[in-house]
Amino acid sequence: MNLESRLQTSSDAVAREVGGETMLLDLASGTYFGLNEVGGAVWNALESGASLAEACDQIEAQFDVPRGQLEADVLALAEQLVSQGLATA
Amino acid sequence: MTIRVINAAAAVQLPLSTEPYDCWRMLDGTVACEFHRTKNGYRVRFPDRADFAIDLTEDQVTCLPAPDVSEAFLGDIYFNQILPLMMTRSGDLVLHASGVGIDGQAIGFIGATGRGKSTLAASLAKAGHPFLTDDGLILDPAGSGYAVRPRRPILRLRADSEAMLYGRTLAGELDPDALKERVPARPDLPFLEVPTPLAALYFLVEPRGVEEPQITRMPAAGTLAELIAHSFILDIGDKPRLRAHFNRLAQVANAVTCYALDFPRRYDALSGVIEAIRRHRANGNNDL
Repeated sequence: MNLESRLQTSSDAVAREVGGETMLLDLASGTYFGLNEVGGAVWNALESGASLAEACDQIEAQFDVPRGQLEADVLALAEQLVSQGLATA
Repeated sequence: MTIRVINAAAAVQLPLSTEPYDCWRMLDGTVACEFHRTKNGYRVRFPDRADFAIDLTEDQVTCLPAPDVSEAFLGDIYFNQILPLMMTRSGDLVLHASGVGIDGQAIGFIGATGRGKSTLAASLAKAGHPFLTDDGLILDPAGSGYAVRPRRPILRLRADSEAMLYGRTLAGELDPDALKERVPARPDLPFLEVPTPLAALYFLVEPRGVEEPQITRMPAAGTLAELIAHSFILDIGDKPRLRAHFNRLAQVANAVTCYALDFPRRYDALSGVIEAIRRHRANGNNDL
């Protein structure tokens, strides 16, 4: 996986914003996950079809975070989403 | 939806051929009930108490009691467990919570069996704050928030709770199946008969041995996880309904202020707990 990857979010994943965080429920397993504000923005970008690099562009415009750190964090989150079955690469 | 209930003859529970897809447990880990799928619906088993066969094609529930289980207890299971499960299929939102009215607003106490939901509701009722429900708290959307729907004017109390509150037994009949007595509403245990706007939910957290009541605001995201854990849903594998259920609970988490409530688990401390809750309501929900 790299920054040009476009992840396909799972149709079994339901996302809702609650109190500034994004809660994800995996309908297949009944497991739920919490994403912070930036993680929620990544999820929204992926759902709209953005690549990881494009997700970084969107987040960079919203949050004050160094680009290198942002790319590392987005890649790490993407790996977790895939490993949890919430998205496919 | 109209549900037809049929009572079958008592019989010893035989092993079921299917593996349960869900299970509720008591605080000590014992199985309270387990859920099985059947050709036309579900079978909900309360070990050594009763099976409830839910036929969705006929909108029919058949109660299959184990031997020597009282009718009253079977009625309690149906009203407090099976009916809420059926209601959630129709889109209602039902929580494992008791509810009372304070100054024209409702508050709910959410928690697992044995955490004190009924005792708190009874104690507040005795102190002049009428109860709305003993368990199976129904939330109806109302304006930008929710209203609590009154249920039946009966509390189910453990004998020691009842004796502590009233110094005597009111109902006189201890149900050996439930270890709780049914105490109907009465002048010193008032019931609130009208839907009441929900002001807050209090989660009865695992006791940490506190000496004084502690009430702390819960973050909305954490609240959602707790709401999921303490709400009724018949089939967690029913994806469309689970999706809708999750969305409804997320709306509750965003709209309703929720608190974690811990308190000394001693009856002689209960009056202090009631006073703390009253103060909390009167003082604008500040943490105690």
